[in-house]
Amino acid sequence: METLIAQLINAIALGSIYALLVIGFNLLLVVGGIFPFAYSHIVVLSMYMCWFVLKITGNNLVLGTVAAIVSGVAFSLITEPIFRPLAKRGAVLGSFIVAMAISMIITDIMSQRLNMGIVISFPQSLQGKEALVSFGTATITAGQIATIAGSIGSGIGFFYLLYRTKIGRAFRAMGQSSFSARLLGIPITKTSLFAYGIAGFLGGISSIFLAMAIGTASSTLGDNLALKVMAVAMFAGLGNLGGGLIAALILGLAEGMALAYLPGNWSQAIAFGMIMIVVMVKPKGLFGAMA
Amino acid sequence: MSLSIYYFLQLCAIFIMLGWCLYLVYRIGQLNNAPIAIMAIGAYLSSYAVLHWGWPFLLALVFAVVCGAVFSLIPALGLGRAPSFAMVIATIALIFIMQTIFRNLPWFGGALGLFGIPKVKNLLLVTYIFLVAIGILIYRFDHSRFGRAAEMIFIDRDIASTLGINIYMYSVILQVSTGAIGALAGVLYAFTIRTIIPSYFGFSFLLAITCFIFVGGYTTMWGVIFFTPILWGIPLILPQSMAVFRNLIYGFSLMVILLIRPEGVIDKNMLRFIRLKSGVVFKKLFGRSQKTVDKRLKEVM
Repeated sequence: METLIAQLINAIALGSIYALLVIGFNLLLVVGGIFPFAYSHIVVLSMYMCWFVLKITGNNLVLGTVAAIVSGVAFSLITEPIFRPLAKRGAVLGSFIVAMAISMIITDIMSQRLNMGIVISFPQSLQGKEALVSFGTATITAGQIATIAGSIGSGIGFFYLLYRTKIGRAFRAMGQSSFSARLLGIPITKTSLFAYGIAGFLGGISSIFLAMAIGTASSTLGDNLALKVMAVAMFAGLGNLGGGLIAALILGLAEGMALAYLPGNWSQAIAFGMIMIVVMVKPKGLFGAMA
Repeated sequence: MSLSIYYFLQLCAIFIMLGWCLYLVYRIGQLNNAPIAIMAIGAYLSSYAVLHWGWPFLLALVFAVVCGAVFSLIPALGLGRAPSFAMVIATIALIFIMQTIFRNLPWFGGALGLFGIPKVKNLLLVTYIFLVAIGILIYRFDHSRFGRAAEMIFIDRDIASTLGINIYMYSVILQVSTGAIGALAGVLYAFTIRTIIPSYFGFSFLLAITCFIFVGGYTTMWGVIFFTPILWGIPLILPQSMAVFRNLIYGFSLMVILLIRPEGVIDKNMLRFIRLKSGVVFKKLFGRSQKTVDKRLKEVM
């Protein structure tokens, strides 16, 4: 029972990281009008930047966090001019291929140049492994609590921005139709730049949580993460922000439980098997596509 | 023939087949990555049949291709109506499911894979016969009623369905036939490399094939033929220190080509241009000149 609760907390922490990533992904999909396959690779690249700063400054956690967020925003903004002509043309499938190319480039740089392709591991002080609550043999660590609280906080902040501010209204208008948004006088380029920035910010935050939860990063993490984020977005229905949160929690739970209670490494097959079945039965996702 | 040239020719043929698999389903606007997953099935089943049941190569090949086609029917039936993104993601998921299955099933050697696959005589000849045969079939398909219907589906699905084209049927048929081609490519791959492990049939494979087809041009079948040897050959020519950046080169070329030539290097306009020019050149070289035509005319008059 105690281990079950510990596993549940772990799974919820994992699910809330996926939820943050899916919010950023869906934001780029709806507002940017592209299929941001490389988003997770940018998140992993920010993890590497965080690691570098930690190494240089002697494990200064504040600077490490700032580095992760700044690099998330910066890398996300760098990709904007590349995608702009594709978004104008409305070539979403083309943007998927370009994003794939960007992900190839990032993965290759990570596997050849950064830390000579060796797996990086984050210091114990960042991971927050000390037990905050312990009952019986099971413990809940500070890192898990911070991840869950931080994800909920940034999620609420994002939805406040989306539904209560002017820029949020511009986002929703662009999600409906970027053509009519232009007619209504919404500055398209500025708004989409803002969307890329926010997606990068969320990516930077989730990169820190990922560093806490996993503790290591390698060049293949980007591909794995990208597939999972894509799977969650597909599961809920592409562009459906609210559904994405629920789907992220479901996937986190399913994966956590499969990791804990299934033999071998079948857990990946379970996650992707779920996606296959959902896509076959309900091609528009569980909650329907919003965009 | 030296071993490296043999591998180059063999792998080029296999990549061209896989590129055609993606091309065929992309004809109707769906990006289907399932052939890579089916390729794993073909490779594993055929080598298992040869290694453990002692079957001859050709029988194992037929067995694997039939199994691949039958297996590809399952996702095809489900994904026939799916929107194009659902298909992309579901088929990428299928690749990972296949990898996990082959890694965990007890008969296929786990992460170590199957090794010691016997050598097959004249494999290069067999491969190229298959390649040419598939090429002719795809050419015939493109220039038939079905090819034109597929073109219409690509341009506008709604108009295509009002013209009486059964989009679902086209999707299923194309997916199953590409499944068969993918399984064939898998068999040839297994017997070329002669050692197969689950991680071969993964995401990096898909990235390479996607690069070949989208740089070459996805609107014609010729792009893959010309650009697979070029792109696959570039890292082999470069010095060792540069060759490790293969994916970097692929990524940059893919990005640049898609931004400046959205349809790839060889598109329909280019083919038309080449046909026109070659016609003029052909006439100049072999056709009758104006003088002889005038002479003949005078004779007739």
